[in-house]
Amino acid sequence: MENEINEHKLNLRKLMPRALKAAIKGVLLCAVYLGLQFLLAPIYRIAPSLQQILETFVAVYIALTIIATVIAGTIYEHFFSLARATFVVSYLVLSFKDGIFGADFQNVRLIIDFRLFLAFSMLLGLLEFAKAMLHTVDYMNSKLES
Amino acid sequence: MQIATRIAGLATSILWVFLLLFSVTAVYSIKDLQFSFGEPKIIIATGNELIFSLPINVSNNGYYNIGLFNVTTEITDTEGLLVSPPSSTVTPTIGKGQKVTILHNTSLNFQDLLNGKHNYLFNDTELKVAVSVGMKIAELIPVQASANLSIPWGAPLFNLTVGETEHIAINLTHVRVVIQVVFENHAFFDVSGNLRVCLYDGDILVAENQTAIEAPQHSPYKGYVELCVPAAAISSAWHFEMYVLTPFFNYGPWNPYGK
Repeated sequence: MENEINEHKLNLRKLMPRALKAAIKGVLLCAVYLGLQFLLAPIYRIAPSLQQILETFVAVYIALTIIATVIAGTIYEHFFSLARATFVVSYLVLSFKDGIFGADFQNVRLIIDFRLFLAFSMLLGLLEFAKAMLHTVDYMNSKLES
Repeated sequence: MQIATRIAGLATSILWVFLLLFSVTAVYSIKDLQFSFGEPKIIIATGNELIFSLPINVSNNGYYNIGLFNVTTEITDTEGLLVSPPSSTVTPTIGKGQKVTILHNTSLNFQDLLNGKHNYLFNDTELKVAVSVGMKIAELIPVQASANLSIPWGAPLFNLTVGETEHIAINLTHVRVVIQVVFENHAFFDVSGNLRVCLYDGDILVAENQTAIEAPQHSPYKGYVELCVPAAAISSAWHFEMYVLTPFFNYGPWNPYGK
């Protein structure tokens, strides 16, 4: 019984720094997003749909980052890292569609071509996916070796 | 392997931050672009062409240079037919913090406009102008704004009518015919030129004369043309034809009584 309690305490001790790390990561990402919100506010007035796209993206991204950090050191961490990388690429493709964003104000039509941004983002997303894959292979290797 | 993946992760994070900051500040820069329009000028060019010259003041207070700033205009009539060919003005680069004035010229060939459509001479209508402004924010992100505007078209010979003709006998053989011509110039340019009148007896030209016309924009015109006509020519078969000859357009023959 005492052993179980000690093991539980040990697990909690292991979890605490990870939870703290996850909290710091979450707060930092939120701070970055809020900072960007300040810059993006005038653009949201022009294109309100962009706000919805970014809010959903940031919420899911932060949630996946926090989960991956909390369960760090397990195989699930790598699953979530891969899921996050896949989510970034697929969400960008689905939300930006062809990368050309249009908005109408009275009789003026504004078109912003985000294709270059989209291409770079997808490349970075793929790079992140490759990195997560390498992490998984490395983790599996170290598990087999031990 | 761990070191390699960690470095890759760090590089990805740095690139993400750079990409996000760049994209956000670049799009944010659109807000700091200021446009104002100067007094438009109308220049008379050769070949019946009117050139509208519109000065556009661009003030780039954004964080980046603007590349390929271009303004394109296309004028069509109410039925969508092209009145003026699309004209573009391109400025390669507008540096950050720079203020530039761009002269955008659109030409309108009056004679082409009137070809088969003389209602532009006599009736007020409107023309459709498709304006498109394009640029590359930070010389990378293409942005385009387009709008359709309607501009009123004032007829230069609105309500062109011929008043009562006056016949005054000069002598036994000749008669002086005085023709009153009235119209309103609703156009945005002055109508100056000549009004030529030819009087026919059947198919035979018996007299002709011309008078100078000067009708400033948005003003009425009333003038007279005098013809010295042989008395024998004043028969039931007489009729006259009018021609309006200006630097922008030539119109005629016009038979006011349709005889």
